[in-house]
Amino acid sequence: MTTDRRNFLKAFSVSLAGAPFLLGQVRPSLGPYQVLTDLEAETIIALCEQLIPEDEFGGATDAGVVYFFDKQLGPRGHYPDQLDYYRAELSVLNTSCEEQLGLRFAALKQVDQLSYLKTLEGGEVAHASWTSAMQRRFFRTLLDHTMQAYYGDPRHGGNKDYLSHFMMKI
Amino acid sequence: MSAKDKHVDVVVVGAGAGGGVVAKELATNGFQVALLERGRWVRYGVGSNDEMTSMRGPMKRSMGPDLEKNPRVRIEGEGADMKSYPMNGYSSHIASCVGSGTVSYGAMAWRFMEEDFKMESTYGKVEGSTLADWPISYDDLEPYYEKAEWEIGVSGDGDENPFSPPRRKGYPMPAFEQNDDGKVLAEACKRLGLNPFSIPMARNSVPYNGRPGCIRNRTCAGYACPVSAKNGTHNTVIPKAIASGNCDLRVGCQVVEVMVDDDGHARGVRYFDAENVERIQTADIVVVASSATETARLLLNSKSKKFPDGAGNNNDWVGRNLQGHAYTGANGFFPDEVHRFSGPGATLAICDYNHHNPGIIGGGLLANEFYKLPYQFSKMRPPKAARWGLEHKKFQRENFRKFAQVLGPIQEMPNFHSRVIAYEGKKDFWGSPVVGLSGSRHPLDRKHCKFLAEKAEEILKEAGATTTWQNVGGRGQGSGVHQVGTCRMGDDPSISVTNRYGQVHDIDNLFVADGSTFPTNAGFNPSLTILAVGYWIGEYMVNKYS
Repeated sequence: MTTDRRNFLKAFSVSLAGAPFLLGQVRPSLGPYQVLTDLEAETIIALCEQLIPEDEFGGATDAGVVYFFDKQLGPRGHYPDQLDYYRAELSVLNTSCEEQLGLRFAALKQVDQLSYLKTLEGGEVAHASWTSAMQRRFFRTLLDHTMQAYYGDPRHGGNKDYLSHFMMKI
Repeated sequence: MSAKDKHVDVVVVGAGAGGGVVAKELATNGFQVALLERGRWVRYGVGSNDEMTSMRGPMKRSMGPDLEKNPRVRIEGEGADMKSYPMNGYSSHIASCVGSGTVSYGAMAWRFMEEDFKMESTYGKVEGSTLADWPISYDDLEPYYEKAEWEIGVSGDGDENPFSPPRRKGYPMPAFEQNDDGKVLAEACKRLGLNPFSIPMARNSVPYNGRPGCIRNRTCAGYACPVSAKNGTHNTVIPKAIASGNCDLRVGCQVVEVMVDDDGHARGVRYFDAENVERIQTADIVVVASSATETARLLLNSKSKKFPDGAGNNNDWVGRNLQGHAYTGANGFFPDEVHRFSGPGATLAICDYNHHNPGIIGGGLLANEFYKLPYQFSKMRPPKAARWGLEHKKFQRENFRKFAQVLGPIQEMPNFHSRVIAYEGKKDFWGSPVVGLSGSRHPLDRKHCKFLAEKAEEILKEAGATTTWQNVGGRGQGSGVHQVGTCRMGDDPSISVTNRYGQVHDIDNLFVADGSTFPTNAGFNPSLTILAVGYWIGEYMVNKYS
């Protein structure tokens, strides 16, 4: 994905992201996604880019990892039964970010995103009803699917143009 | 009313290793055989070259089975305390297709050692274990190993392994060369006084049986071979059985019951065909070869007047002694690249730790491992190394070719409580009680795993790996794709399910012909032994009923 496209996406997400909250419900996506809302997609993009960041090779965003999630959590994907789980967990995650840092995850500074994820990995985010075990489970699930998305076959939605295989010279 | 098929001499349930061989032995000797397989032929193009949907991948597997139609449960506790939990993923499911595990396997083609057939005589009784001798010896099975090696096709060098049991004849194809990490590890083994050799493989090192030689694909274990150079029942004995004109292979057929009449004779099977029509296939002889979990479930679900708790289960031994292999070993990173991905990865083994090691009952082989592709490799990290972020990514690309694994299957100590039950509380798509798995491994397995993992790490260090760590197995329940033991063969009907020919005690026209019959599972991948047992049982049936 080019920088232009990423900025466009970012702007696109920011402009729409508040809407579902204002309406008090999750709306069907207006973006290029099949099942994810724009807020969910924006959150996944930001989370995954921290898990596999861009360096001299493209990161999760460039590899289109979000499209893996959108496809695999959809009705014809491999993990349709986990869509509701992701919905719930992403929502709690954003709520906890807003409570503690005043912004949803994707709007946080990079450094804050990184330290939030480390806290999540350890199950130490302070948020009523989101237990440590739930946090660690969500982190593990997200990490595993991100690796599948970035390193798996492009037919599953991620690893655009075999980006990761190019990086690994295979 | 169920639709009735034309009566046949023999119906075989399951076209895997055991069932494929038995069907061929019978069909080529003039018996009319119906071979029922719940899966279908594998089509190479359907996701088979895809790490995610391979049989080692995290997604829905291209060779099945369909998990929604085939749920399983984990059982904790007994009697009133019994609780069940749904099992996610491929909990001890084997590839559901024509050829089954012999399509997807890594194709290591081991003969068990002489000691493996007489574990109790060699090591004595083991507390908490049902460790036993087989009713047959290595010598009994040797000609059938040979037949399996020549008919299925195995590449190897019969003289290279000093611990190899005696053999009358060599392998039909030369051994595979060592790959890059195999060479490095072989030298290390020699320096340590060990005896490395090339793994015997059911894969063509040269063209054989009308099919080409191996192209060194790196997607091998867990995948179908794109050029059919990997040998299983699907490309050897099953086509031969069909070509005889006497074997009717029917795919997509789920058998739900072995019908046993009031006199205690098997009359055939009830099944649902590919269009989900309920049918009855009557036969003079019924052979069940559906793998240790599904064979046990089918017998347990086959209740009759004389066998109210399931066919052959009047002594409560069906489903017991479920075993697999506790995999154990070590991982290592080298300063320099140790491989170039000339597939499939596993080439080198040692059998120094199979038997006759002080304090160890059984033991296991050690081998270098099939290659880890990018996703699996993302999990291969030393303890405390970064699992994500910039550090993860850099590690991933810089160390991909500097990694080697030395692993082996520990011979598990069978126990009565590790078992398959037919769980009435949950039904599959066809309305049958599902496989419930309960129990756990014997505590000695963990000890044996630690022993073998230490040896594996020693080899990696000697080979020059600078970062090594052990991956010690042995917890949980033994089963997996190496599942055996649930209908063990024995001379005493009170403590076994079948006789030495796989014939169920008290139901003389019902046979079991797969790994279920194994009393013990050795420290070796079991496929060649399942094939050999298939030939052993098949020949007995041909002689008895001709």
